[in-house]
Amino acid sequence: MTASVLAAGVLEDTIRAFFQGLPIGAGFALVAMSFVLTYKTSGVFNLAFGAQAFISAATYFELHVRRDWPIWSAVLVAVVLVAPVLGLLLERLIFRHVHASSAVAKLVISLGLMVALPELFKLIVDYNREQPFGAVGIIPDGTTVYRLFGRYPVTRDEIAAFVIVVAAAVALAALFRYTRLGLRIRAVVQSPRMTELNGVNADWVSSGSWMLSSFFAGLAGVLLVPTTSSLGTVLEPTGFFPIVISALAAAALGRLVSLPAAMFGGLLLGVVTTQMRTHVPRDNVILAELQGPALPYVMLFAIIVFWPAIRRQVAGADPLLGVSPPPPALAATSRSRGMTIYTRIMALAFFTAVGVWTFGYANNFWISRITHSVIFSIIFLSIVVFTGLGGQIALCQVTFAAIGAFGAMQFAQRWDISVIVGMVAGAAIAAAVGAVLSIPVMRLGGIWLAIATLAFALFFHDVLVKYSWVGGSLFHGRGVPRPEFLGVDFSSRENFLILCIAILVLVGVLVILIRESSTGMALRALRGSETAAESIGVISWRSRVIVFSVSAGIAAIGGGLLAMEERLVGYEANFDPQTGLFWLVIVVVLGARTVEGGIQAGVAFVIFPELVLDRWLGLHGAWRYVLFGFAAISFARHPEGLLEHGKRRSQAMMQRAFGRRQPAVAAAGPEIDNGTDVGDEP
Amino acid sequence: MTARWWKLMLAGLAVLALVATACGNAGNDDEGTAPAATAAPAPEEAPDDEPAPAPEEAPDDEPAPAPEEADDEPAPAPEEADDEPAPEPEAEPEPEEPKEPEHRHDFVPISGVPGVNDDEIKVTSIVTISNNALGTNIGAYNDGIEAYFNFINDTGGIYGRELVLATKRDDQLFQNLPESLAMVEEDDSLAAFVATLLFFGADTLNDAGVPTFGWNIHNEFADRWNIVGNIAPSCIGCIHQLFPYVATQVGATKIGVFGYGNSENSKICAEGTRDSIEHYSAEAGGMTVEFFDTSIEFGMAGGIAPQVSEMKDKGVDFIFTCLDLNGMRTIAQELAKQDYRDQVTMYHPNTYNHEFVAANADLFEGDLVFVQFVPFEAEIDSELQRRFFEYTADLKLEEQTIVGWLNAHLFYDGLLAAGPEFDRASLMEAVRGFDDYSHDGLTNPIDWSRQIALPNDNPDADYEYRCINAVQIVDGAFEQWTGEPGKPWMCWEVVREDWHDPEALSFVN
Repeated sequence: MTASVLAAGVLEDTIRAFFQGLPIGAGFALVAMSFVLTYKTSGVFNLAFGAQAFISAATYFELHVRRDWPIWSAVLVAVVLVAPVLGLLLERLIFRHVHASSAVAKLVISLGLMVALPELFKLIVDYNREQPFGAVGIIPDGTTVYRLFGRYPVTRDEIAAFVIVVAAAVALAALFRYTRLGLRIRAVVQSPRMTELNGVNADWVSSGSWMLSSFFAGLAGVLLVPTTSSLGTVLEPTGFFPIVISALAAAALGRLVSLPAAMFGGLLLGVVTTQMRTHVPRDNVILAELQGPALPYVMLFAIIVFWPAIRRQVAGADPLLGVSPPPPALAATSRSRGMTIYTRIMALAFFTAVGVWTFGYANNFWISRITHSVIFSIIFLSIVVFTGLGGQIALCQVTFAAIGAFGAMQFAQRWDISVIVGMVAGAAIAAAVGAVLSIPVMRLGGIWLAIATLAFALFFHDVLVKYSWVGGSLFHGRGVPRPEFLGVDFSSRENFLILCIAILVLVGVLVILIRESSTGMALRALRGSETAAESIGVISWRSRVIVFSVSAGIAAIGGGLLAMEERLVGYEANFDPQTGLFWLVIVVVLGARTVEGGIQAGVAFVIFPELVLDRWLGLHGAWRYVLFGFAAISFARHPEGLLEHGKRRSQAMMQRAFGRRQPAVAAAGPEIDNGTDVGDEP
Repeated sequence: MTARWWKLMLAGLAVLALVATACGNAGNDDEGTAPAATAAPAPEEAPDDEPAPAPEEAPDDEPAPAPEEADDEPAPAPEEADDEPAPEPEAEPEPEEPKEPEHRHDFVPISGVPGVNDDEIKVTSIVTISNNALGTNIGAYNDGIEAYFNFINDTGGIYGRELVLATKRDDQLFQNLPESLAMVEEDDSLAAFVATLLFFGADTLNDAGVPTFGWNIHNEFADRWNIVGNIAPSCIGCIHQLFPYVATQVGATKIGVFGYGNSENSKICAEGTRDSIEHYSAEAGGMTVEFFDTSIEFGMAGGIAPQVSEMKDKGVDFIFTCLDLNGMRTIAQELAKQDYRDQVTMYHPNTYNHEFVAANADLFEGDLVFVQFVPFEAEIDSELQRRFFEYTADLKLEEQTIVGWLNAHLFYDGLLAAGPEFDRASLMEAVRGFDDYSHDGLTNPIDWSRQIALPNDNPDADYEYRCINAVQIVDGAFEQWTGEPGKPWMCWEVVREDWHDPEALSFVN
């Protein structure tokens, strides 16, 4: 074969891969533009996109496939009616009230909605999920194939998606650049009050923006269904996840603000994907991973970390943007001595009663549930450290917990070494991984840090876990024994619970020590203003590496204990990255600032659905996601957490009832929505 | 942090390390904590006490391991004759009542056996109902159990009692561990029936001595005395002739193989397929694996177009996969888009789903689908099959419907063999005593006394025959493809590694 023939073959393959990549890229672009549109019009990085897209797609499916509505009427209802109304409701009921909150606070809210909306939809609509095989698009005869230049096949569905993407990009860019409405939308995002001074009804502009972006999410939902494999048989919100990840990379190319860049980014990523799969050999493990499961995450992570525009965006951010007044004092620091004594007596009585019941009367099921509560409390303390103390959002705590679990398993299985040693080693590995991971991402902060850590979590999930040196062997399973420690056999449930409680106490003390240490003070200073903190000698990178590392280690200890409790690494049940998103939501909703908050979140995560929802109310477990998901809305107003907020209110009421003043609470002033108060204080 | 603080930390860590190295792992306690194999009243066949194969990978996104095995002669073992509703050896035009063992209706008061009172024998199911995104209606498993119980109850129950599926627990995707524990603690069921996408609760049920019958798509069905499935633990990724044999039957010579890169199970399955074809390449007419890809991501967000183009360039004419329904559909769509669908036959490991195939008739025309039991389309002279159709006439039939039915049948046969003074232990001893159990011909015969471990680890635990039962998709419906009328199974002796033609068999008792 001559070189020219070979070159011609490569050229032909390249051209073919280019045309194969465009339709895939159109899907990425569609979702990426939805992200950008929402961010541009509301300042919200809307991780609930998949949930909104799912609701429109599921509505379309129910109407068109199950009820035999014509395509046009089903689209009218699902995309033109339901999607904008959903956007309107989200804006009116939720996002209007958090306008001044930080991007991180809005991210937490969108996480809550991501969890809650689909479950609520399914509960309300009684969505019939049995084999819908809903891959029916809105384009009649969408699978009809045409040939570009007589040789490159493309379906009608793909052409429609491509045309819509380009048309939408042009129209939306024109809207923002050349119309008064676009200008008003941008102005309202920047400052609604200032805009209103110019006679613009900011409320209506904001509502319109949300309706528009939600319409776009709905349109993306119904367009993606026929061309996305994971939506091929059952419409589930998780089915949008694979494409959302790639789309995030495209949106990142446009720094979340440029629609054309998002569109071109999406198309580019589609083409890069098919080019790699055409030209990169698959017989090498690393190369095979890079063009397969690892590709979207590597692209996303690399873009966030290395894309100059994002680095410029982060570096160019107003250094005073994060400067905020100190958060209100906690109720515990402001109550009277009598109230403190009363509270402690009540707490002692409560824990004594629980202890007596647990060790005297509870059956194995409830002992197991309580042990799970204690273990999840430990894991959630890692979120207290990173989010409560560090003021940042990481979406990979679940991965660190998994590393701890696998560490315990590997040491026990491979080398027959004490599972406790394995757990500690797992924690050390997780801490090291956390430290290494923090180096490229620590400067990012805010939502970029969250997305980068999510990419890492998904990379671990989809790429690393399947390797036996990480996730164990298919044939030898993931069994984990319980430990013997200091001559005590912890194989019984009661003994193991005691061990877990002891470790929880140790970790709680460690968290308090960190908070009181120079690192804790440095973190508080950094949260106020990094520039100011560095000007007084705080070494920001060191503090952040430490807090990331310690947080990862704590999560890993919890993960190791969870594996011992369950006697196996239930990775899919406990450590799925999407589970980790819910962990974050429940902790910040209940209180990420305190050790107490982390413990309460652990108890709520395990006991609430079992005891309250299932046994008392007889409700389906999905209500857990609905309730805590929507509770995330409260985060912007009560960053200290709902329990702390309730405590403060009840304390104030009691003190009023007893005719006392409430010095500290009053002195702290009204609750301030400073947006950055993800945590602080004991 | 101050230097003093760091020193304290280091000192603490050092102490912790010293203490930790002096400690170990607990052995089995009263709850049977260890990761180990079985608990149970294991007679001599009890599996080795080795680290328990715990939950492994996700199932359907990872397709079934290759076609499973069968074993044994069609002839029923004499000692089991009274265990099963033995049909007449010669085909009867009219269904008849199964021959009843004499003691079936003997009532003996029993106390202290969970779930058993004077009127009922209650069982619990744990099934993935909520959050199942795989497109299979696993809830149909409960329908199959209840249909079988109706059949038994309509004919007088057993030991003067009715069989009742009293509690239906929803796994809610991967929550079967707490559900199993709750079931054990409530202690109000004789047995558990499990159909979940992963099976984390296996050790909990096994260690508590709960007879557990289930949908075997997990390694947890191996090495656990108290847990049995609709099939026995099977060899995943083993080299065998059935792959090249299937391809030769449609005249294929150039093979493509797909597996998910996210799943170890899927990769092993794909590698076993590739190795089988390469091993028998010469005997199979020079068949070659032209395309092999276990790097595709679940969800295929990046599409599959380049891979299909490559297969087209290489002239692949048969595709084996270890993928789920979604993956098969995506590949078929791309094949059709590239005008290549008609030139390729696909072999589906997980697509025995009538509604799905009917909805994608054009995409799958002519493809072959592997089935782990005698398909609904293949009528055999089986009383159990006739009863199945009779008692599920009002149901939409799914793969899981018959899995539930088969599990319930094994449970009933176990009770019969255990005798009227049964308990959990005697029930499982009876089940493990069945050494030629084919669900009246609906499955490959299993020697439950021997087939406990995974054959990958222990070849002695393998089936005697490796069999295939497949259907072909024609106009959006299934047609029996393997075997011959009345003998739907095509089987090879496992011990014979030389290339030879399979034998058409029936396993009806």
